[in-house]
Formats: sequence, structure tokens, C-alpha cells
Amino acid sequence: MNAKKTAPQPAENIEELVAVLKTWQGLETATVAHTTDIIAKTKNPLIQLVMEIIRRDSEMHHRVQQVLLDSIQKQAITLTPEELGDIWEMVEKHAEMEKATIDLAEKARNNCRLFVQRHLLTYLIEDEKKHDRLLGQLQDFKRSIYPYA
Amino acid sequence: MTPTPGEHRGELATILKSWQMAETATIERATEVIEHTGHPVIRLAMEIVLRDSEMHRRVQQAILDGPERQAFTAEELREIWKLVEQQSEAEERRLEFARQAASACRTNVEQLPLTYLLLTYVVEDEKKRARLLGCLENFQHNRYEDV
Repeated sequence: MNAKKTAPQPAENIEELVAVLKTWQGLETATVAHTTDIIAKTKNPLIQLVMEIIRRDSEMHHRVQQVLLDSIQKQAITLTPEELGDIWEMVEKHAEMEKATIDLAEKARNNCRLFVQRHLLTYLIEDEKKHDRLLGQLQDFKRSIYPYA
Repeated sequence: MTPTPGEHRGELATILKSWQMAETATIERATEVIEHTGHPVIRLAMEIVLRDSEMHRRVQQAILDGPERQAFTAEELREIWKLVEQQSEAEERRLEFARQAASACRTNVEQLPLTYLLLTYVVEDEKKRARLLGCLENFQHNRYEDV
């Protein structure tokens, strides 16, 4: 008997992905309820702000997970050159703005010596970098669609 | 000459105000892209940017208002700490799901590139939130570690 473990096939991975996404969605729903509970129980504006960041992120994660599930179970998402071409100039301008914003954000943190403020600034910088990467990935798509662009 | 704390604060306020304006411009630009495309992933990516920018403006305003003035007491934190801890544990579980999903998708990345793009975003966001809660935990234990 061959005991060697074989790598999971793509279909198995898809099933696993769907199962994980559904459980994960359940956790995001619980997080929305839980953060709402914390917000109601504290008057401190900082704790309220942190909990609201988490709550809003959870709401968006739930939507992204649903788009992912729909793309796997209902209809695959494709991206055509026409779809990308129409809005590309706008996306590029947006990406430039994100880079300028990151510079500004780093400058702000360099000028800040206060503990709480530095933590909040670090959160903002991470989020700005996340946007930059997200737009960078769209740019990668464009390059694979238009390899000589 | 080394700038004084007052000069630092003044410069920080100037930067934060310019940054808030940049966020407003980002919101306008993302709204414009959303209006010009029907593609679900591009719309979603722009909506993420738009909603984050709205929250960034609020955080920048909180920094401008001086959070040290409204900093919480250890007592305030103790009262809600059990809830925050539960939140932190749930965060760990979500992070684990995020890793599992990314790993299940990685072998299919060529067939599912857009799925991978969206998953990468959620994974990064989960990590960011775990760090944010870690920061509150530092306050609770009076650890003022720099970032």
C-alpha cells in the first residue's frame, strides 16, 4: 500500500476554501455583534474608535467573503481589457495619490512623540500601505492583460 | 537645532490637516471610479479604499483633538477588558481562517487570481486588527512600547 500523502487536488482545495469562508463569515458576524457590545459598554472615545474600526472592517470582510463565495459557487469573476481600459487612467491617478499619502503619513509619525498618537498613526500607515498593495495588484492584472503596456 | 515639542506638534497638526484633505480627494476619486465601472472586484476594491478613507479622516481628527487628553484610566480598561480579551481571541481564530483560506487558494492562484487578490486584502486587514488589539493590551499592562 502506498502511504505517500498526495497533494490536495484543486477541487478539494475549492471545497476547503468554501468551507473556511463560510465559517469565517460566521466569525465576522459575531465580531460585529461583539464590538457593538463593547462600544455600548464604554464611554472612552479611544476604545470606541478602535472597536468601530474593527466593526467596520468586519462588515467589509463579510461582503468580500460573499463576493468570493459567489465567484466560486455562482459565477466566476473575469476581468477584460475593455473593463480595465475604461477606468485605468483614474486608477493610476488614485495609485499616485496613495503613494503621496504614505509619504505624508510617515512624515506625521516622524513628528509624533506621543504614545497613543503614534499607535493610531501606525494603524493609518498600515491601512494606506494596504491600499497601495491592492492597487498594485490591479496594476499587475493590467500588465498580464496588456504585457507590453 | 533640534525642534522643540511645540514645533513637533505644530508640524504634526499641519501634516494631519493636509492628510485629511488627501483623504477627501481619495473619497472623491474612488467614488468616481465606482461610478464608471460595473466590475464587481474593481468596485469592491474602490469601496474598501473609500470606507477606509472615511475612517482615516475620523482617526486623524481624533489625533488632532489630542487623544492623550481623553486617555483611558486603568479602571476604565479593567471594566471592559474581558470583552476586549474575547475579541482578541476571536481575532486569533479569524486570522487562522484567513491563513487557511489563503493556503487553499494558493494552489489555484492561476485559475483564481481575483479570488487571491481579495483574500490577500482580508488577510492583511485581519493582521492589522490583531496589532490594533495588541496595542490596547499594552495599555492595559502599562507597557508603553514604541511602534
